Amino acid sequence: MLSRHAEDLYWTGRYIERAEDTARLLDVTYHGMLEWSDKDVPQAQRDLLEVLFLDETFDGDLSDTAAVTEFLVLDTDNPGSITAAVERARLNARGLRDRISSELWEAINTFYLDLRARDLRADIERQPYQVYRWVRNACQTVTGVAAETMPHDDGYRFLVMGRLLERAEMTCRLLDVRYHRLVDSGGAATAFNRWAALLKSVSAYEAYLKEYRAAVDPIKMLSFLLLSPNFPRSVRYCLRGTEEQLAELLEPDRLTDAQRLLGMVGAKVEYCDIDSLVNADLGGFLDELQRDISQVGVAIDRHFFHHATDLDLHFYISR
Amino acid sequence: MMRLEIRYLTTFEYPQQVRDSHNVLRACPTTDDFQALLSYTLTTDPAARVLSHIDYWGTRLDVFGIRHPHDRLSVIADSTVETYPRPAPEPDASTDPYRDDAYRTEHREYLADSPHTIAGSSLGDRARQLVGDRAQAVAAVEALIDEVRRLLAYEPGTTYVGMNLDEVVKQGSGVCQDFAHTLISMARSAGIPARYVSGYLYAADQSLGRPPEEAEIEVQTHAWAEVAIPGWGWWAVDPTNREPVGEHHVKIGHGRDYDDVAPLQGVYHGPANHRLGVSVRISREQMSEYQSQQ
Repeated sequence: MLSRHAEDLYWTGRYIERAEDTARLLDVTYHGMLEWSDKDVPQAQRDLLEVLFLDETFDGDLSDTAAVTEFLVLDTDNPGSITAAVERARLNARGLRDRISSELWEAINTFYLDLRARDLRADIERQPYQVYRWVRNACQTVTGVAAETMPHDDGYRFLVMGRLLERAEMTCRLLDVRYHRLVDSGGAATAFNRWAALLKSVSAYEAYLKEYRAAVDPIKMLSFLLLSPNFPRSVRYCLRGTEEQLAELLEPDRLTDAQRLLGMVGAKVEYCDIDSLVNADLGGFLDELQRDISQVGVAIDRHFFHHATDLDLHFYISR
Repeated sequence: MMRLEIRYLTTFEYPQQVRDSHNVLRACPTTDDFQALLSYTLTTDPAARVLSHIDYWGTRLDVFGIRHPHDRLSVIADSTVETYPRPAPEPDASTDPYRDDAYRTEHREYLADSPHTIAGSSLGDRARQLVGDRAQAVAAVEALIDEVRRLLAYEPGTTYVGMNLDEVVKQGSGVCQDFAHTLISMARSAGIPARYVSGYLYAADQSLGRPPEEAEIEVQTHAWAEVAIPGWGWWAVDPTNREPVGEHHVKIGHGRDYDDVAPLQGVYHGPANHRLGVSVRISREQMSEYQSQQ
């Protein structure tokens, strides 16, 4: 397949995942705020923007919840907003119509058209929960339709790989920003709610309770979100999943940069000692993890899409 | 009559492997009233399958691609061509038709601006002033050629493909392409249809344009212009030098400007910094007294 098709599929995966994760984060922040005092609001909004790496892009008032929410949902100038992500995913999918199933195209296009048809500004004012759930459902529909209507060939693997890498980064960011605040926050009741919110933002609350019962213990929670081998939003699961897709896409006897980096960051996660990390430099560890994962993205980009930064299509004309 | 053997050679050297190279070559001499192509062979290394066709302007295009990785590409086009003397244009041809709608429509594509001939109004004003109300087309064109030679000095390496014409004129120097584009731009501003010609010049020094003393010379590709003389036809003029266009000029083809007849262009996947070497070797075939009388 052409590398630009592979790249478009990969980014479609990333955009849809980004839209879904943004909705999850907004949802859980919104519900968390109901239980917090007003003075916590700016901090909660800053946390939210920091997780999404948008704290420097947003130039409005942090205590204005509506402004932050609109920035993250509606603002098409913000490439990280839900609307922008869905628009880009749709643009990619439109160029790929002969490569993807028509059901997948319809799912993405319907999502986009519905998003435009809604009065989102009024909806997030009146019933934000319903909006976030709808976005999540629409994203999961796209993911599900892709899985059930496309042959699981190379193209599909790129789609999955984009999704998994985006998710791995998102979970790391979430832990990175939230973990400090949670450890500092003290008060048992507030702390419990915030832990629960963190788990819920990645749909891990129930899975976590099944594994560890009601003990909301920071270390157990952290190891669940980092290390769970079978929870689909844990960092380890996403990294191993990406590795599997890569192995299928590449020749077995040669190791590419992307695989090497992925193996290293995977091992770093799997063999880390959570207990001592919590007491030492957890923030540094999570930062490093994020950097490593984005390096994997760069390596994938280089290997499949843009062989080397200066290796591009060149036009020449002789005199 | 002159019989010339021309070897057009281009070599690309890439610092690392490139792939998917697609190229269009315009190096094959045309056949018209003043020259005849006797043979033409194209060789590429790595070898490629070449598809050839004649484009809208009447130029032969050789299209070839090399998909697999390679770090070197050489293109050799060998041609043998016979050239004949050209008659001088009718000196009394009138400039009236330049203002005639039917004539203008017929030559429309050579009157409109093209990317390489767009210039600021001062060049056009100068051209209109020079042509003024002259009645003789040939004299009008000669006035423009003199002006181009006054504006530009021949200095290789001072310009590049795609440089704005105003900048070239402001700088006051250039190579044959710049001379040709400047003349074409001025002629068109004055309502005289003009077209760009790409070809080879059998002269050791392009700026002098005289046939060489040695039998074989190494040169670059050359460019000149053709202007429409009403009632007579296209008159080839070489603004770069003072020689009339004749047996030592070998035409490849013509177009609105450089873009329509660029000798070699293409794309490839790989690093940007390739080394490109172009050389043209021309030698004159010695003919017996009998042959040259034929």
